[in-house]
Amino acid sequence: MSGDDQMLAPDSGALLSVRSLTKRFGGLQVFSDVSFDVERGSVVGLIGPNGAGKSTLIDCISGFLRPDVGAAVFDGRRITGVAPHVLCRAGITRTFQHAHLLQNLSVFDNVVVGAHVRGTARLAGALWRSRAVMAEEREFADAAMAALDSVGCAHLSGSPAGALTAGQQRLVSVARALASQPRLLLLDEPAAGLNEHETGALSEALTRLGAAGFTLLVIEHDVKLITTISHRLVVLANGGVLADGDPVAVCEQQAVVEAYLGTSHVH
Amino acid sequence: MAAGVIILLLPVVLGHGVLPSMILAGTWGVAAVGLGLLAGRAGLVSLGQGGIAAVGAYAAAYASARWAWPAEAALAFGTFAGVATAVVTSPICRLSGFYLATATLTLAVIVQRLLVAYSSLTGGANGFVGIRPLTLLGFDVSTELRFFYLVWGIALLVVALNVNLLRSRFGRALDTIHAHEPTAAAAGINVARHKAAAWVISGGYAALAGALYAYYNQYLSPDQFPLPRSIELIAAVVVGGAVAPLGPLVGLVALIVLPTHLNLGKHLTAMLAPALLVIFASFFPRGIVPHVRSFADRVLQRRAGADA
Repeated sequence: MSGDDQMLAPDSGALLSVRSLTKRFGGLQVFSDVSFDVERGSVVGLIGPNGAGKSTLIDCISGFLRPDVGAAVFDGRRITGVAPHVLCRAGITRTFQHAHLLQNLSVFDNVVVGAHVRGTARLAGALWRSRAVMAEEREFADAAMAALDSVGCAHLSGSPAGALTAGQQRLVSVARALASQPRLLLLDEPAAGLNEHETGALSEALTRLGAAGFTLLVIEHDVKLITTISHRLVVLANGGVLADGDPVAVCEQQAVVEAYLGTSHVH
Repeated sequence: MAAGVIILLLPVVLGHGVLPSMILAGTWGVAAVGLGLLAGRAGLVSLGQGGIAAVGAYAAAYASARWAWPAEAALAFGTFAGVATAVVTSPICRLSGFYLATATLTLAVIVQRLLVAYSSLTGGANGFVGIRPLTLLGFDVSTELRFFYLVWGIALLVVALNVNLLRSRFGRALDTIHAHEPTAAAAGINVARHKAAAWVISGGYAALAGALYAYYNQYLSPDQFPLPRSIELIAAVVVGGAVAPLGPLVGLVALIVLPTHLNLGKHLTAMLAPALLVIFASFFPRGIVPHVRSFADRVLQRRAGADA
């Protein structure tokens, strides 16, 4: 480990440390000098007005974008610039604003893809369905069903994904991510476009995951949802971290109300 | 299974007149099944499979005629040559859509040019002769009927292997890549490597088809691997149904066997593949096999409903 990494390593037991992250697109600076920690077993909410760079930040942490300055440190290791599929093996995965399920396939077939990451059987064995391949398929199936169960969707496993409501599809996409048994799960606006009832089901599922000890970093616009499920709230606004702390206390800060809640909690 | 039995009984039912066109359909069917995996599942449309088939054909022919290798070894060498070509050209898979189609088309053109240019190896435009008659495991396969059973046996075997492969982790990974690459990457799937693997597997199938063709024809020339050959393969996949396991084979029967026996003539036959490609891509994008299957399902359901 280089001296640089040691300097970046978290002094606490944080699972993820974001250190002085800066991202520019050409001349446009999205955010600069963003730093915060995600503790092991905590649910951290990331909120902020539209265009504050929340999704860009998640892209930088999950390997889809490379920050210009700074680093993300996961479990003591610098992960900035590491490809997404490698990060998934290391224990970080994410969801997207759309569920992106394969509509023709069953819910189970969609979720089992997430479990593949732990597979080691050789490709050639699949040609004649070798014993190693079949044993592995059973492991994948167990992981997929456990993941579906943890978001309360086990009863849907046989349904075609296309027949599900938007809310169910979103939960299934979370289950697909959980099937890889991540140590850190990044959720990009899981409630976007969901109705009140669906958001309620999502809130329950995420609360259960938090109680079960999963580490989550959740981007969300729905303030009620995010204050319900989060242990801590980070507010991103005006290109930097505006507030970081207890969800209720953060929401009461005057600067946060002005930057975000004042305009947004109307809808 | 049923489809396999029907195909293998065809020469008995229809007489030996269908053999030459059925042999061609079965031979190129091996390449089309590989292209079905590449285009239908991974979403990578290649117009260059004829080029890789030519590599397999000439490699097998060379091993048989010049090195006097037994057919088993020559067929394996041809397939290996196609796989090697696919491995070397696999960076092509970083492209997509129109750019990939153009690049693979160019690959087919380059191969054809090389076959003419390196005439000391390939015989150039005069063609390549001296391929030995096919004997496999001491069994003479040089008659048309035996060759028919060989290539259709191999084609159906390849379909079965493909079905297994696509039911596995690999197939589901390709589906996910096809649907949304970032989701696949976030699920730990190495997108570039999976695309390259699909390209190499389909290249191996194409080369095996080419090697079988070399043995069937006993003579090779660069004009047997023109661009229409590659277009015909992608047309077969689209017409038959890219996702259905037997789709590419059904597509080739429609494109090769039907025009021969309907006596469409040279010009109409040449236009058939491109015309059907456009018609099916526009109006029946799922292809013959899925459409026939859903039609059959509807009829059966109606009958079951009438009985009840």
